[in-house]
Amino acid sequence: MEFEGTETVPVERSAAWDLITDPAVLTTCVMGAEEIARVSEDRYEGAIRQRITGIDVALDGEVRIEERDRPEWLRFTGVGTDSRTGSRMDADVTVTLTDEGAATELAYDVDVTFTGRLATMGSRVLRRQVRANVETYFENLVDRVEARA
Amino acid sequence: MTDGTADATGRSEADYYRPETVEAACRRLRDADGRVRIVAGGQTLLPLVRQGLVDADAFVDVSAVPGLSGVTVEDGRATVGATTTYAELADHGLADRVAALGEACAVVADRQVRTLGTVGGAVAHGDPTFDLLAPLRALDADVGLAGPDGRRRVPLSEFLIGHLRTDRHEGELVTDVTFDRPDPERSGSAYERHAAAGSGRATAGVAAVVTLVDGAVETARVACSAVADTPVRAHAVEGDLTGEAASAEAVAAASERAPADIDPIDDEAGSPAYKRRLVATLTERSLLSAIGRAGGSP
Ligand SMILES: Cc1cc2nc3c(=O)[nH]c(=O)nc-3n(C[C@H](O)[C@H](O)[C@H](O)COP(=O)(O)OP(=O)(O)OC[C@H]3O[C@@H](n4cnc5c(N)ncnc54)[C@H](O)[C@@H]3O)c2cc1C
Repeated sequence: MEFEGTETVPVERSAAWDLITDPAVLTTCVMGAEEIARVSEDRYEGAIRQRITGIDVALDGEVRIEERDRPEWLRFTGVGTDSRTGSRMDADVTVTLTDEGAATELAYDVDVTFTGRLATMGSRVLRRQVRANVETYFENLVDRVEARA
Repeated sequence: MTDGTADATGRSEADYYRPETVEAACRRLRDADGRVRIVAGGQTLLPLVRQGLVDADAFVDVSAVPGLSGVTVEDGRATVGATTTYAELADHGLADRVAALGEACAVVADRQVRTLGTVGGAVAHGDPTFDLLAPLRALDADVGLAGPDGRRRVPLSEFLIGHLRTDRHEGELVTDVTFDRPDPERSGSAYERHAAAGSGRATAGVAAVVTLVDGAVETARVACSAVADTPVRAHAVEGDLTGEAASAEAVAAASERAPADIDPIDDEAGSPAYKRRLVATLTERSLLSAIGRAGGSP
């Protein structure tokens, strides 16, 4: 499933870039993220545990920055596996950062695929869930910046 | 009340409890070892268990608790117990008086789901496509919960916090929903939904509850299912219609504003643009029907 969106953060582009690549920020802004660590310049490892009413999902995974052009855009991929349900999630995300005076617009393009038992939940349920996650991430990011300003 | 190792699917080793009082159910929820799940009609939960997406060490089946079942109306306030099934609600006089409820029950799947599926299961699961939620939102319902810290009530609008996410605390069970029964003399309600052929689930649904005074709209409450992370109120429509003549023209104009409060996604049921159009149409239909039932002639 693919979707896209935009969010504006009230900081300049290079600061916005640092924010989105900071593992501490990732951990606080991703719903249910635990212990995301940057294991090398371009690789992050961590776990995401989410409890929604229907199911419990615990993804152990890795995020890798595949391409980047600081501070304009980056493309990263994520792989998460849930051993209990034998499911796997693959994400391919592109974020483009555009100057808007003292603020920065983040435009994201997300392509997510599920395999295994999670995929049987169907896109009706998963789509909304994944989108809610991505939106919450960017909203949390904005909240975090605004709380500091 | 059976304590045993056979679970509802007969497959795993989960414990299965069938308490007969709310207190006993709460105790089971608190004391069960490991991950515990409440089951009522099982129409949503058991398919997930079968698919391996829900894995529980214990199930607490609340369907045998007499105190959780049934519909009462007292001093104009209606109470629907959590384990009341769609079929039971549809058969109750309340569903004739508040047509939106009867209409929502009637469109749910098939006989089996309506006979076993419960109001509490619909509320507790937090799935915005469930049909009963829009009428309950339009009725300004609140949700009763019982848990280790006693009982509490929460407006449905605050209980449903996101897609498949609710404000239910650990160890709590939903006991009932309550709402003011709209004035039978001056009010009307309706639920209109559309489902793609073969899917069964709502692409979109709209419930309207309207009260009239002297041919004008005194209050209008409109709620939409399946087009946001939770069932949402169409505040723009409500605002435009309040105080207006209860006419077809006013309804048509206000209904065009329905897309302002929804957030549909692109999925196999259709594009966001299609769903916005659909919601405007369903809003108009449900409002016209609700006004007609309130004694108006739009
Ligand atoms: C084939 C099919 C078609 C369907 N079509 C429709 C449809 O057209 N429209 C529609 O609205 N719905 C539809 N449904 C879903 C149905 O509405 C819901 O399954 C039903 O309302 C859930 O009630 P239940 O008692 O079966 O819940 P269960 O499956 O027993 O439980 C559902 C969830 O709620 C929790 N729960 C249940 N009761 C309580 C309680 N008292 N307190 C706390 N938590 C509780 C459970 O732990 C579980 O997470 C369909 C289901 C099936 C299988």
